[in-house]
Amino acid sequence: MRKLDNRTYIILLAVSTIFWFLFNKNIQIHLSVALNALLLVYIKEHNKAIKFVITYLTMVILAGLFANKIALMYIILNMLARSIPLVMVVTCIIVGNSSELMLSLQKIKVPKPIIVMICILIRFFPVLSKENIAIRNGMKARGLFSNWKDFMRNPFLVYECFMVPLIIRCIKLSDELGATAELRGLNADKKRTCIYEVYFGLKDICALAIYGAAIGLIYFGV
Amino acid sequence: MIKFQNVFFSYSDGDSSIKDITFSIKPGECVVLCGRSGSGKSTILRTISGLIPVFYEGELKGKVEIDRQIPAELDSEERANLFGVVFQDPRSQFFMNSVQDEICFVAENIGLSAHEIRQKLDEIVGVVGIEGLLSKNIDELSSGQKQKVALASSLILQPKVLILDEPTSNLDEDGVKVLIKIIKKIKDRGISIIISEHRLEPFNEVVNRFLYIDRGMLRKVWSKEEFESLDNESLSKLGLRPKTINKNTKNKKSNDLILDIESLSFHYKKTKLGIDDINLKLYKGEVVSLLGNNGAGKTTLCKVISGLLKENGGSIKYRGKVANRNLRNKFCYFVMQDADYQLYSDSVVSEISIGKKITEKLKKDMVDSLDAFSLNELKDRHPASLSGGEKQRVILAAAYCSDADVYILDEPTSGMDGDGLHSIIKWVKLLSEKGKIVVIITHDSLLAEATSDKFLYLEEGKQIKEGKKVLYEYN
Repeated sequence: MRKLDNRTYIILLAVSTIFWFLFNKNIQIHLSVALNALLLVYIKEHNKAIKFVITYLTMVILAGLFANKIALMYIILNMLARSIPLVMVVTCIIVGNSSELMLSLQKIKVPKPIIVMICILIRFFPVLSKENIAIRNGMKARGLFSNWKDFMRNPFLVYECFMVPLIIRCIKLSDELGATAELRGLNADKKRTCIYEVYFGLKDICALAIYGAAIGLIYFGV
Repeated sequence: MIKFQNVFFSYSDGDSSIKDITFSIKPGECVVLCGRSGSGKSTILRTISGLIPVFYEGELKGKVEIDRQIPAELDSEERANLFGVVFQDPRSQFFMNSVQDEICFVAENIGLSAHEIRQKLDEIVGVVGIEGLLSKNIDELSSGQKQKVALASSLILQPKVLILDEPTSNLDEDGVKVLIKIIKKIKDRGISIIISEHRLEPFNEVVNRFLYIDRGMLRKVWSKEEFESLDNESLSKLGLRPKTINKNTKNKKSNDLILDIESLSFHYKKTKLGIDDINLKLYKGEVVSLLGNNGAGKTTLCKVISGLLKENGGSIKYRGKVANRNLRNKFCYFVMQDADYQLYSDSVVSEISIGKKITEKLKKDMVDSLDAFSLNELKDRHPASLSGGEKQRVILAAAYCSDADVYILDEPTSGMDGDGLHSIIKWVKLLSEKGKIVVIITHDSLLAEATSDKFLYLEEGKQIKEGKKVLYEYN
């Protein structure tokens, strides 16, 4: 079954961002998390839907616990929780096919440098998380900060030890990626093609209509 | 086809350069560039592909022609059509998430139709032999599979020149054999192939000439036959890896049992892969080589030994007592393949002492280690500014100063020249003489033969064979 067109997700992101600014009750945010979880389930990303819902609930509960004790923690957790509905829609785009995304963005006349930047960013997320794990393992392997006590005792040193190799790896990766881009036609003047067919169909229109109606109902009805 | 005539280049940041290089390569020829690390091999590859001076700035003099075109004057599309390039670490050249998308990426960029791309995809997938991988996510692949995908991606447009930068550095013996087979097929299609490499022997089957580069200059050109006739002494003098190596003179091993591994097993939750029923006894001063193909479980075993992973079954006894993860983490020191992940400080000296309490003993050890690993001249440099071999030396020097009893080296000679190989052999012996146990994860049979007392061959997580005969069978 074909998932929705990326242009649909982009419109959904725009719509949910507008309503995100308009929502002024907590229940509206709760319901938009539920709505976006349904969207993730629809595109067969069940695990991600469950993870987001659990993360959201955890943050809301923690924010509640901190509410009358540490105001700063309450604000931070609340802000993070509130951003989850938007992250859920962005996830719909990220988990899809990069090649299709590039074509969809090209069809809506997004400039090529921005398309390339978005796709490299999407590729970079999993790479960065792997780099983080490798750095953490590298520290442990040298016997540095092997337990949480060491972490807590030297927070600035730990930060430095994470950031230095991460920055060096990122510079190295971006340098090599830049060289590869030059050799793999990424800067070619030709219009980019795609081996997949990308079209905006009835399914997309229905999805937009249902999502629009649901989010409208959340805003006006609650 | 490829013509270099009196080519000079120096990087604008004053890095290494090439001087007065002249050679030519005909269609269907395979040429291997060899020489010490930092001799200018990669600079030559970058000049051929036009990345010099377009991407890497500097002063270029002389005449470079590829298929009667000047590479620096080509646009992105022409460059993509003319060259296929595979870098040393294929991970850094992937843009897409799935194998199929990655291979088609360049063809899509230059605007070929979907029908044309599919035809080219089918063809190249057959040549490289990755039919079963098309729908896979790139991050799920092994090093060898990634190398094949990188090759297919660079060959889909049927370029006239294929450039490979140290293609064997992450491959096991089987992976190298497959790579040679693919190169043979590509050669038959009339594609010129230029390779920068330290492991030269495997390329004898396909190479037309070896070009020896030294301090930026082309010093020698050998035919296949001439290269075969070079003896180990000549190769070592030139900084190249020898063909064979003097066997290990026994390490100062004692009967003091330090580590006793019994029925050790570990499985990753996601893939269910891992290690099963590993048994190993390690004595003070002993050096052991872990051999086996990529994915056999060598690194996993060492991660469990060093406490980076928790075993699912079996036990590890340290000096007669069962050791938990935390304790193992204290008596093991794991030197990873990529040194960038293990360097955190702003100078070599502070890198060696990072996380340690400064005592008189440590100060003495630091002086000794700077001496032993020839780091005195580099002691104030930022570790990030060092070459790959120098970075590894810094980590080994830090290891030398630690109180660990077990040192694990993951592919220490990967991407290293002959001098690097000899240095690692020397340092392993140094650690062994200090009474340390050294476990080496390697595909490098020369290193294993020159350093080790014990050999362990793993296959699909199982301990298949032991003893020195493993080494000869592995070759």
